[in-house]
Amino acid sequence: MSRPAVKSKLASFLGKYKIIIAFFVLALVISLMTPNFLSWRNIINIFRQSSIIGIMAIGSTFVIIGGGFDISVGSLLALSAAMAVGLQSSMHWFLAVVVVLLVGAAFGAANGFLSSKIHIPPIIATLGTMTIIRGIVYMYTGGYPLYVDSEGFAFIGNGYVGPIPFPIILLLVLVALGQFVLVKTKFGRYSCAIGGNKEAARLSGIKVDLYVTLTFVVGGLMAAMSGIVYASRLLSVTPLAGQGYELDAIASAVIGGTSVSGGEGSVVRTLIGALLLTMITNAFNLIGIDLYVQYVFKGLVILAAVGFDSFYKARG
Amino acid sequence: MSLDSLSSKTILEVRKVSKSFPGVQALDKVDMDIREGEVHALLGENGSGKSTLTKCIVGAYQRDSGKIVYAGNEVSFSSPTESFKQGISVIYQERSLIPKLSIEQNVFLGDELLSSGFLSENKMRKRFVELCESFGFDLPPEEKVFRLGVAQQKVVEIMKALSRNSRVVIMDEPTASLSKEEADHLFNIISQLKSRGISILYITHILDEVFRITDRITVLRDGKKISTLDTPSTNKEEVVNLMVGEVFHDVEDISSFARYDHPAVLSLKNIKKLPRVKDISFEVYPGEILGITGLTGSGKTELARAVFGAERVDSGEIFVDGKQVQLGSPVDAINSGIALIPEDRKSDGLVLLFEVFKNITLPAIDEFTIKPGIIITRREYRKAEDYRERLNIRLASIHQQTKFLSGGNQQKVVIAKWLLTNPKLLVMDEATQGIDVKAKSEIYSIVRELAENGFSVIFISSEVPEVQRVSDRILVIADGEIVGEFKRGARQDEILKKALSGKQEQLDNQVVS
Repeated sequence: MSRPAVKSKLASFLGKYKIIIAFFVLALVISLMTPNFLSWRNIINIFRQSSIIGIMAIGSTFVIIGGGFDISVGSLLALSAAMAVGLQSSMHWFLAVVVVLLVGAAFGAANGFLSSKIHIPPIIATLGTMTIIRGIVYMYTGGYPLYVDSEGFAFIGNGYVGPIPFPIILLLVLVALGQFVLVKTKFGRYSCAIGGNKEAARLSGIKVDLYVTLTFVVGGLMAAMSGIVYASRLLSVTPLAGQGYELDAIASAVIGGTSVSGGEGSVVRTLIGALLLTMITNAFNLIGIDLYVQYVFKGLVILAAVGFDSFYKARG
Repeated sequence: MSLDSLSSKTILEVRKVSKSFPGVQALDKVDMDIREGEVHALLGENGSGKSTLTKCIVGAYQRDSGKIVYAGNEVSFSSPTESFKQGISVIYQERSLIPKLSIEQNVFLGDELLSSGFLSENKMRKRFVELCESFGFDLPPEEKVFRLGVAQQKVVEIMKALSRNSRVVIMDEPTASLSKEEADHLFNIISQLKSRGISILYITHILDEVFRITDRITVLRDGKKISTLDTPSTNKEEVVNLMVGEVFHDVEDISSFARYDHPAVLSLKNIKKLPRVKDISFEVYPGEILGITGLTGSGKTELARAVFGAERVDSGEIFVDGKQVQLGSPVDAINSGIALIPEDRKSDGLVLLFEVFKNITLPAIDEFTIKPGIIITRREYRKAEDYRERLNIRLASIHQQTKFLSGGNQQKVVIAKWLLTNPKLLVMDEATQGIDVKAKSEIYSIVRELAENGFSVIFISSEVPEVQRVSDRILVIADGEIVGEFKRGARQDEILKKALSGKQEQLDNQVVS
């Protein structure tokens, strides 16, 4: 095999696994500094803290792979959480959950329609819907926190299956499902093709607009799901819920190696990206470092992860 | 006139310049010289090395060997920006202005005039007016470029070159999208430049222009310089013969598989897709290889895209197997059994970051899925391996990223992906562009084999020899219309003349109207 081929293999190996390597190196370093870090309780804690962003980030991964961006998911989390709580006054919690998921899918479809059919750049289209949805949240809640008391509903965010909290199980199941859909289904393949080369995809007979819209629908569904977990975990919602979550979700996907220009990514690696972000916060809290410094460090991690890819891509 | 130019000094000299790309010797020890105040035509068929030569001169490509001497000094420009600063500018076929900036801003872009570190509107306006006056241009400095017509934009580009005191201006098909009057205006400007000692390297396909405005002609063929002639002492006949080279009168006698007694697979009636496709009608028969040739910009690619539904046609009727169809999208075309190998495989044909097998199965993914849309990758691998063997695609593994393949192998991947959809009709647009000789001849055999198996192929290429080599029948397109039809065995120079003169007739018509 020629040298460039070997080089490219090495690059693609590093590209695929660097996040996993980074994850374990960081975990090792932190565990040497803080003895509590590797305790069962703390590990479970990190996973549980990652579950809401992690679920949302599954959707972001699909959207970004298809060549889009969705910054409305933080607002959508708030709306979903508020509706999940609010609707329970008039219906069974399970039905409320189903309605909320449909609403999430509908807003996702709207985002997809605006970007693929109306041709508004996705980041702007979802900036618009982000603002609209946040407004609807205020209208729906009247600006006050909402509370709920339902044992069945509380299980989603607080229940245990054996020793493992239910939100973690939900997260892992959705990641597995998401990865399967991405790698093994026509929808996943088409999404990658569109993000990789939209015109070639169109000329291959792919209904580009439809599939782009579907990636946004997945984004909306996952945002709604994360809102449901959020509401159930806290059993209350304030209208400010989920602000900035969309950025953590996008950061998770991107740290996990999802190509910002589309076409490439993995749901499993997005999960690792989400865990990595939580782990940093967790470690900083254990060590006792200021919250402000955490922001700086998180930002550096994002730049390092994306910078590595962009730099090597630009050099061919 | 020729005595005049003989006496003047050489401004740019190209000595034994060679340049190769993997599998192709694009330039082979080419010599050429351009004199001060000369209009020098650079002629050759597509792929003869014209654009490679100009790119080597301005530093867009680095030459492998040879020398370039400019204004008495040996030079090696690292980029077109550098050569531009030194006084060699290129006016490309595609416009390279920034549409939303004003004319004046474009003219001074990259070399803005300053006073104490800030942009000086006054100085620039003064210089702009000077330029306009001394060359007789009449352009409003504040008008935005996107509001200008193509011809005026060309003038702005020329002004930009003049503002930098260019001594050599290279023009690549400058009249390609100009009307008769606009072209005349351009010729006036060219003679102005000439009278001021500015040299022009003029690249074109249109021989009438060459004989109208140039002093000398250099002909390239297959990367070699064939000859440099004084324009007044030669004629079209001689130039065409030099461009085409040896004319093979008897084409290899390959049997045809076309079944003209059968009903047509595809039939087009009065297809119009402005601005490039004006009125095109033809039929393709089962097992037929229909060649379509014509100059760059004649409308071939637009026609191919229209047949595939990549762009909606303005008017006209399309029949597949005798039934009228509406091809509003590629999906419709694929369902009607039509496939397109697009002109630009990298931007339109492939998802470069996909593994090879994913590209191969992309349009026919349904064959490898079970409900509800789950892909059985094992079947994909098997099919991809089949086609890899059948088309002799050379790669390390079907799991390799497509971007690491050579051009010829990438093209075979595109062909494989369409064969998988089992089309009745394959439209190939410049299918052998930029690939090596061996892969080219393999693609010709694939085309023959397809025809033998009853497929129909529309083989579109601006290279006459290859169209002549593979096609059962050849249509020549010029300016959006069919201007000639040839049977297998037609002579290369006749076909080329038709393609060149088609444009000529068109120009004459404009004179009359």
